[in-house]
Amino acid sequence: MTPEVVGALVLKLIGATAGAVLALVFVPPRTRRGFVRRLSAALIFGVVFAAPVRMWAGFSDDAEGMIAAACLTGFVSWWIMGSAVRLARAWQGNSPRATQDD
Amino acid sequence: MNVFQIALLVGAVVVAALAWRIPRAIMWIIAGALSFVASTAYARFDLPYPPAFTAACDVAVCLGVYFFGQLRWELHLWRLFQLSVLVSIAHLAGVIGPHYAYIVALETINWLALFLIAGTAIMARVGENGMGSGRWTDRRLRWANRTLHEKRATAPFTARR
Repeated sequence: MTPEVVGALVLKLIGATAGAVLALVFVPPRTRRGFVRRLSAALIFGVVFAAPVRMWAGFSDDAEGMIAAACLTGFVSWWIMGSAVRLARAWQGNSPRATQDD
Repeated sequence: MNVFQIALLVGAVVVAALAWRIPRAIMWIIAGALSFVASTAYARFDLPYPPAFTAACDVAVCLGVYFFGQLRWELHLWRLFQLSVLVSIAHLAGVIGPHYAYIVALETINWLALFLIAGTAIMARVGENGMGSGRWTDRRLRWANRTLHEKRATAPFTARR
């Protein structure tokens, strides 16, 4: 891996982690399993989709823009992962586990 | 420090004196004051992205209240710090444009947090004993007292089940 790739990866990870922490403040999970699931989604999608989101949202083409894009992606991924799991559980039926495990 | 910041710190001291018998209230007042002093000092030193630093300080207090808060009034405090984080992010994103609007919003939220803690302390002092007549005002006060001092409805995700 070239230093540029490593640098971009570090910026994306910083942004995605910031997004996950922000999301933890606003949309806390109900269980530890939910936390791990949401955190994984925020970090993975934050790193993978930071570049397209930066272009789509019109963020600047520098480190600041990359961190902001990864932060936004991480935040949205956290929220979507929680909603998706809740939706899937609701689809399965209203079991006790369905209402708690998100 | 300007007159508004001094007023806020004096207000925090007064509320701390009112809430002297509630250790958790004192703890959150100190946490909020530390966050306020740190973010003000950061901005004074002209370091980059002061709203981001303010948001980070408020996030720390917010997570502290979320993980260690036990009663309902603490969850109301958590909501106020959430609002504070949101205001800082909105300012970073350019949604809240003028700097004075951002400062006024933050000061308002800080004062609301102090009023919440002061109200909780006053309600704790009045207690259930002073509201035994069954009048409308007493019923309202009793409702407010229970609303503030009941256990929180949802435990943090780290709590054992």
